[in-house]
Amino acid sequence: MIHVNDLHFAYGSNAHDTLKGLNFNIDPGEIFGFLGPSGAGKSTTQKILIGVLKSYRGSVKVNGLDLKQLNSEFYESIGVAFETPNLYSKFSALENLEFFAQFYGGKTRNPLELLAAVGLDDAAKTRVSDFSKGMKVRLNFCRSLLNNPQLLFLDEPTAGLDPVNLRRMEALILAEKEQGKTICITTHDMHVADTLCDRVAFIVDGEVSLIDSPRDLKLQHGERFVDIEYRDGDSLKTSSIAMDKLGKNDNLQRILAKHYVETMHSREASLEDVFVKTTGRSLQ
Amino acid sequence: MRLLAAIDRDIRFQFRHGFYYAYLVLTVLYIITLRLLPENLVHPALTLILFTDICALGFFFIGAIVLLERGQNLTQSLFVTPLRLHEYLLAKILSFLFLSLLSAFLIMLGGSVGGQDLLWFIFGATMSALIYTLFGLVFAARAQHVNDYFVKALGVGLLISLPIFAYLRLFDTPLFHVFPTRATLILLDVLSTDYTISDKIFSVASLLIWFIVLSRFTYKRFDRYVRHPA
Repeated sequence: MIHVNDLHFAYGSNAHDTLKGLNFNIDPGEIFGFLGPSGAGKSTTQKILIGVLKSYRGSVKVNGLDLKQLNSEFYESIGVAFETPNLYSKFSALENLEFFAQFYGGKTRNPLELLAAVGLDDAAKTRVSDFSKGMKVRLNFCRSLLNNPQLLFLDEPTAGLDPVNLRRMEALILAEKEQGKTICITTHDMHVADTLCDRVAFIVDGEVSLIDSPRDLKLQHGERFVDIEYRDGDSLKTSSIAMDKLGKNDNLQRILAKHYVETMHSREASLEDVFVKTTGRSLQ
Repeated sequence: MRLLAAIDRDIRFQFRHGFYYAYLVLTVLYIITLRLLPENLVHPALTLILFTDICALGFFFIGAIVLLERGQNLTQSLFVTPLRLHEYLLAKILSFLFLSLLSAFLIMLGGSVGGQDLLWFIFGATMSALIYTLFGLVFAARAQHVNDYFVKALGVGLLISLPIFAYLRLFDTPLFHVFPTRATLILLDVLSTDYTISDKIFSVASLLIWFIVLSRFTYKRFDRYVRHPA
C-alpha cells in the first residue's frame, strides 16, 4: 500500500534533517504504528504521507503511484485525524461533519451513525466550543471516517480519552481494520501500539531503528521464565521457573499440587522495555 | 458543489463570528448619515464610505478570519479533503464580496442614492471588494498573529490608498494611475461625476489586471505557506 525509500526531510532552511533516510512499507489491511517520543519525527512522517509536506527527498509511493504526482483526488480515498482536533468551534458536531462531508464526491457515511459509534449522539447539536478535549478527539475521529477511506491516518488517536472511551476507540479502530482498511497510527502511547498495531516502527531523532510486530518484539526481548506467586501457609512465596520443558518441571508440579497459586506470568518484555533497550531513549 | 459548500460555510462562519451584526449596525449608521447630509455631499460621501469601509471590509477582516481558522487548526483539515486551494480562496473572497455588496445595496437603497452609469459603479464596487480581499489574503498567508497582520496590512493599505488625495483634489500625480485604488475611486464616483469613456475603460482594465496578478500571487503564497508549510 505504502512504500517509502530513503526519505529525508528538513524544515525550512534548517541545515539538519528532521527525517534521516527512512525506509518502510505498510501492507494493505494492516495497522502500522510509528512509536516514538515527542519530536522524534512521527508527525512529520505522517504529514509527508498525506501530502502536506512536499519538499522531501527520497521516494514515497502510495498504491504504486509517486506521492508527488498525486492530485486532490488522492484525498477522496484517505482519512486523516490530526493530533490537535481541527473543528469549527462555533458549529455543532453534526454541522461540522455535514460540512466536511460535502467535499467528497463519493458516498459518505451517515454523520449521526458515526456520532453514535463514538458516543456523541446526544451531543450532535452541541457546539464544539462546549466539548471537552476527549469529545473533540472522538469527533475528529468521526471526521476522518466520513468518506469511508481505504487508508486512514491517525495521529495520537487516543490522546485525552478516559478509559471507557479509550477502549471504545480501540474497538472502533480494530473494526475499521476488519473492514479491510489500512491504518497508519502515530503514537507515543505504548499501550495503544501494543493493543492495536500489527507492526510498529520505532522512530527516534528522525531514524527508524526497528520494525516488527509488538508480539514478536516482546518475545524476542523477554526471558523464557514463568513467575509464580503462591501461598505457603500464611506466607506469600514466589518462584521463577524456566519455560523450556515446563510440563516436566518438578518444582512447578509441586507448587500446583500443594499450594494455592495467586498469580502466574510469563516474563516477556514490555514494548516500552524493548523501545528503551533498542533506542536508548524513553517514550516520554 | 465543493465551492458552494465552502462559500456557504464561510458566510455562516462570518455570521457566527458577528460580522453580519457589526455591518448591520454600520449600514444603519451610514444610511442615517447619508440622509442627514446636504444633497450635494451625498454622492461624495457614498464614494468615501464604500472606498474606506464597505468595499474594503475583506481587507480588514480576512486576516482575522484566516488566523481564526488557523487557531482552530481548520486550514490543515480542509487541505486533506478534496477541496482545492482555488476553491478555498474563491470561497473567502466571494463570501466577503457578498457581505460588501449586500451592505452597499442597503446603504444605497436606504440613502436613496442612484444615478446613471450604475453598471460601471457596480463593476467598480465588485472589483474593489475582490482586490481588497486579495490584498488581505496576501498578508494573511504568512501572518502568525492578528497584530502581525494588521501592522503589515495597514502599512500597505495606507500606501495603496494614496490616490484618495487626487479624489479630494489635494494632490495628484500620473503615478496614481498605477494604483488599483485610483481605478476604484473613478468607478465608485461615476454616479456623480462625468468621466470620459477612456477613463472608465482604463479603470476597468487596471482592476482586471490587478485582480489577475493578485489572484496568482495569493494562490502561490497560500500554496507555499498554508497548504504546504515547511
